[in-house]
Amino acid sequence: MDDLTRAVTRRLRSAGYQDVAVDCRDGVAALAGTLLHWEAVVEAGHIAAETPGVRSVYSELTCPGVDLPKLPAARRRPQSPLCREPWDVVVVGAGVTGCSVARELARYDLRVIVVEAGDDVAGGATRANNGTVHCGLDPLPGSLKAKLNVQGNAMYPGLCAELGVSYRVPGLLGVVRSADELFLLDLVLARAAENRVPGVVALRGAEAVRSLEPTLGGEIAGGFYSPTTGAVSPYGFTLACAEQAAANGVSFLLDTAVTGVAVHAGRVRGVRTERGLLEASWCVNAAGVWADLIAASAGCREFTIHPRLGEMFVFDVRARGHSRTIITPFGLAQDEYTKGGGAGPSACGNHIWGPTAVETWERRLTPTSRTGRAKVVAKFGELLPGADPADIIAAYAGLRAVTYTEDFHIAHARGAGGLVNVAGMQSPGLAAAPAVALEVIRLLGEGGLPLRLRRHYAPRPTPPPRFSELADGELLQALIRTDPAWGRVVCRCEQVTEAEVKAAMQGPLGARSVDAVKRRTRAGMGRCQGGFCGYRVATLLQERFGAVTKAGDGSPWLAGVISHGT
Amino acid sequence: MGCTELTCILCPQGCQLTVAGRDGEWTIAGNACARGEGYALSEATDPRRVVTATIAVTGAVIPRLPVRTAGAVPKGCVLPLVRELHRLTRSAPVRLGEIILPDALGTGVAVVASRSLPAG
Amino acid sequence: MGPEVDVAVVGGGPAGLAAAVAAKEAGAASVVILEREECLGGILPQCIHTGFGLARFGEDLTGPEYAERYAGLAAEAGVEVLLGTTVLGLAPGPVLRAVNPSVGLFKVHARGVVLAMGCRERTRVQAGIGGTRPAGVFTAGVAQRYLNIEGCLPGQSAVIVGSGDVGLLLARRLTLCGARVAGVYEQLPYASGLMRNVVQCLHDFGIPLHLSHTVLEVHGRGRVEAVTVAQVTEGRPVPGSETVVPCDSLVVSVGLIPENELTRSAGALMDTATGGPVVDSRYRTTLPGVYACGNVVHVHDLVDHVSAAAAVAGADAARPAAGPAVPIVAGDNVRYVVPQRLVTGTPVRVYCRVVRPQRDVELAVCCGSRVIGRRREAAVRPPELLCLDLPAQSPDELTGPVVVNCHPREVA
Repeated sequence: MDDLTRAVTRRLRSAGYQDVAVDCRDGVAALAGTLLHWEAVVEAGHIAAETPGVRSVYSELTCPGVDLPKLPAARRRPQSPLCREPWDVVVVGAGVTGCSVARELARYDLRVIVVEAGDDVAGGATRANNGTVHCGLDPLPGSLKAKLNVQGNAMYPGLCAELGVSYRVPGLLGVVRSADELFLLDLVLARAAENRVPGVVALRGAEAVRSLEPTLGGEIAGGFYSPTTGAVSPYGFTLACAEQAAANGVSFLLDTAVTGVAVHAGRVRGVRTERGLLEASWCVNAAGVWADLIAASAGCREFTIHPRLGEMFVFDVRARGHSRTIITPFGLAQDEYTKGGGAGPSACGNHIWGPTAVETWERRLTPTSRTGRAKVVAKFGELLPGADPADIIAAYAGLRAVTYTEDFHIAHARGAGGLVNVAGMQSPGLAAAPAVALEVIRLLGEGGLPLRLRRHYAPRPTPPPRFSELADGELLQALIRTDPAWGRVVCRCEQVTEAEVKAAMQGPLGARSVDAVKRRTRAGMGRCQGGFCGYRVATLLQERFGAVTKAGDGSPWLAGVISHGT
Repeated sequence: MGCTELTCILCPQGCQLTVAGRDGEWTIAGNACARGEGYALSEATDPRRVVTATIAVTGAVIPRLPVRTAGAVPKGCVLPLVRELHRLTRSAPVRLGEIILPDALGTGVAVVASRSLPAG
Repeated sequence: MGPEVDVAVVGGGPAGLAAAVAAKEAGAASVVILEREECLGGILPQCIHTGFGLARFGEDLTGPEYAERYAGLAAEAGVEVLLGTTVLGLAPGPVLRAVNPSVGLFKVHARGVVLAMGCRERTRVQAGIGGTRPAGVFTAGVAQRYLNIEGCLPGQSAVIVGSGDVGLLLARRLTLCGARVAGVYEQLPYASGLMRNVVQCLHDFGIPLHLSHTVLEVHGRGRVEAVTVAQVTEGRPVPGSETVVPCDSLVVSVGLIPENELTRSAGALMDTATGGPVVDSRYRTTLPGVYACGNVVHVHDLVDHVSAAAAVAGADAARPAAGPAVPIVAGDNVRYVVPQRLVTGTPVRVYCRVVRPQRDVELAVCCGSRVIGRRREAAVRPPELLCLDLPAQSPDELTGPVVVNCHPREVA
């Protein structure tokens, strides 16, 4: 038994975990055994990760009622013609990370394909994000998160302008309740300096805080303001990245689950999917909550994901009593591994409260709960007494793909040459994504992937205009003359026209399901939540594609027709 | 025989009715109007319902045509009648009130279209 | 500059149709309905059941029949109808800004604008139903549309949450169309819909109605697989009472919300109890020349009431009545009163809803110690709208605010 194994074992024993088998190699602590409950599994993983010398944790710990995770069973699918072509790089996962990487790879003379299990880009943790582009105050100094977060945040304004994605910068307001906790502000300023977060100011006294945010209620001792915290539509941004990648020759194979990475003689030779093998010698693993299992399929057992559920609650755009900035209570009683969410305006104008943070072994289901809602309402309702929880129009949840080190895990896989893991992409994964993509390119280049810039890098194809943003323009009048569908309002809450829904279904990255249309057009995101437009959107999908699903395979919109037999 | 408790459905008042007696000797209580008495009596002896459903229609902008019985039919006929109606197809145009079935399941009651659907 | 009309009506459902017809009858030269659907009638075409028109036409009509009859009256009266037309804005004037595929963007200047947009359905989130978000969760109106217009089954086995009328009707329709309805769950200790619907839609088909129960969570990844239901006391689920009910769809029938985006954005004074604008007994909002009627003002349970109230609005839009108005407010066991202002000099029908069920009551409208109107009721329930006709009042008689009370009937 080597020293590190002994050290981890000792720490676990002193915390009461006698029965955890530990085996450390090259700084990777491998854990195995059965513990009493899931919280223990997570805690043991964290204890191992915090042992000095441990670089990452691979955990096969489980507890009664929880099986070791497996990649979802492959469905019977016809082979894709894309599986007959040779590729240079396969990107697994079309979330914000995968699509950001694809967009950067598209600059080079490479054959790149992105493979995604869902029916749409951004359909996993990305769509379940609250859209906050964090400034970089939270990550521990020196962490990969800290570096890439600050770097990514700084890239957003320019990138969004380039991609035609709306970007707002409401800033972050940390609110300190008690005078006893005001000393924390010095720590915030020190953290800002260390992480190089620009413009952070301490606000001493309630006056200074209230001058920024007059709606705040209750006792306030002070706070801090970080001006670079932004808000973006996570799916809008991801789709824009994917569209630009596609415009530059990147292929997308959606609705296709990966069953494993094919490795031969210590080298990636392709990615196995439900629709056949995608031959390639390079693979970027951006599979989110499944990233550990994708890596393990290549024999790389370096990290384990323990999903952390976050629930978010969306307010009607009309709701009053909300903040101008993204606010978060700040004090001594912080959760250890999560910032505890915020309350603030999204890029689309709705205010979002959350997320919560609940550890779970479940990787497929993202339920919201009464408890979660009550917690969020209690927490932010105290800060914003003028906001009415009855104005909540939507609730959703997502799974953060968390590693035990609580840092991003972006590195070449050991023992599988050509595989780059981009894992542990929990918050601030969205903010960091543009910088993560650059880091991945750097790693691929360093690993020997030839990076020759293409002569031409096409911009993202201009997206169609939005009716709601044109409502008085002469352009709109002209649009309606050429295509009357511009004059047919399909979604009344968000004022989305039939023309926009039809446009959203165009192209290789076009929407194929009701949810995908919603993410592209906002049809169904308003206060009636699709009550009015849902069937209209479904009808348009039906006319174009035949069968209608809510979110791809396994989610049929309807259950049949009235038949003679009934 | 014992008494039957009913909720009158002829108007939104929803009077709680009790029907007691047998074989033509009925005592009815709880009704706010005379119509309620008739309802109670028919519910106790010969319950009837107006049946509404849709049938398939071709050549119209929508695929279903709403239909109704012109009067009430025995309660026991409701399900078999709807099944029968689900087997029917009409082609547009259809006029409101047009007869779909002249005699629904031998009840003597007609089933008629409850909407006009032009061809198109 | 768009067309100028006497009366412009937003929405061609029962309220809009009745307002338009009444406006014509009252002498308006030009009346136009702007309707976003491709046909008139609003929700009526999908309400294929009977129960419409007993008061208005003295016949028990189906929804489509009622709609067609009213559309006929509108055509006879010479009401102009713009279908497929969405109204985008309402500005002082009043001026409507609208769009449709044939004309594009246009404005309508009117002497009177009648808002008759109806209502929308409360959603699962508003009912606090958590869990996953699979396919198979529909509001009752959407499910009804699929069944009755499109001929599609929203589910093969359904749970219905909420016992509003649409939910009850859906339970029957689903059953008749071959689906299984596992049960209707209502969190209140009484049904929210009309008694006749409880009887004809549930009792007739043996569909269980679980009072004081609600749905807490939805389960399933792609499609609904089950829901968790629980008993409720005082609005809270009882711990330990949870049961999982397998089903492939959840129909949400948890109430309606007046659709007032236009009204609100134009700045009309709103009533938080009704969710609609404050109106006087001629259905004038606080915006000059702007009227509101039907479910925009408050949620009705009978279309006949909608038509009757909308006709007042339409007539006044054509020929405004003069006379000062006094406030009329909710008193004991009354949740809200519509209209909220009483215009003197014309007869008035007052609508109200009670706070809690009560038996053997007298509904009384008083101004100080003077009783203007009264009505006895054997039983009152919050889901059922109560109405009371008041004779025309002279301004001298109404010295202060008018109060509507629901009191236990005094035993003589």
